[in-house]
Amino acid sequence: MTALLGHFIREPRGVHFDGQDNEERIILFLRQHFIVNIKWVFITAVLFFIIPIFDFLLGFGGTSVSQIMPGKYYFVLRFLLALFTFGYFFENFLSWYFNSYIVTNKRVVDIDFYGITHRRFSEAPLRNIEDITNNISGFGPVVFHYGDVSIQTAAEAREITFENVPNPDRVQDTVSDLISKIKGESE
Amino acid sequence: MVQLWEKDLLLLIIKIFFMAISIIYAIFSFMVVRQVSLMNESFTASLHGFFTFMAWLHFFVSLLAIILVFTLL
Repeated sequence: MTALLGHFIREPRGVHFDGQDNEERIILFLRQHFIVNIKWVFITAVLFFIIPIFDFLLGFGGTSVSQIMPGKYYFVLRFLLALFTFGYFFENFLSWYFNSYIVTNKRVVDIDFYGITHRRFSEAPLRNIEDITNNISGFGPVVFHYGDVSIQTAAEAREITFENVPNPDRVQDTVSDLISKIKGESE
Repeated sequence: MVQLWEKDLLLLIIKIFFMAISIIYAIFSFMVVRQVSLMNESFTASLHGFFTFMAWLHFFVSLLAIILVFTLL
């Protein structure tokens, strides 16, 4: 999978994050597992087909939406619904695409966007990480192998959590190896 | 006569509803444009130009929706 749309990417090419140092290298680039998007994809599909479905149901009564509403109102309704459907899809896709977790050879970075007005950028240097745990629980996470990776730090941000990332055990292993390497170099 | 009046009132309510919704939606779509700009700064990848284009397109189509509602209904 390319760096553009993947959810678990090792050493992505052409990706740079805000504040990245010149000699800093991205080791892992993560997003939430694809499967967590299923809810909004389903809702988008329902919105897309809602008028045909409604028409189909009204058809049992021998009528349709276009018959119970004047033509220009029906046109505007369809136009607005198509716009809302696209807006809903676009907003959710952006949210998934840009909520990302980055592991570099120096630190871990958590970029979060809440709603359309909030951004949170948390980071912790690898040397400040004290403990890492991964947690896979629930039917979906077990079947699709995704979960949370909690990173306890001695820094100001006490805990950074990578939520619903694929292969949390491999993420934990990679970060642990990097910490060992950094601490080994400094001793 | 009463039924005709009721139908006109219903259409007026729908028209006002569409007007309000389209204005609120245009504001939302402008917020999305600003949000995409902020998001694009967080990390760079080659899809970002496409997102900016789509966000602006979405905004202009929402303005078109306002024009449609106010002129057509």
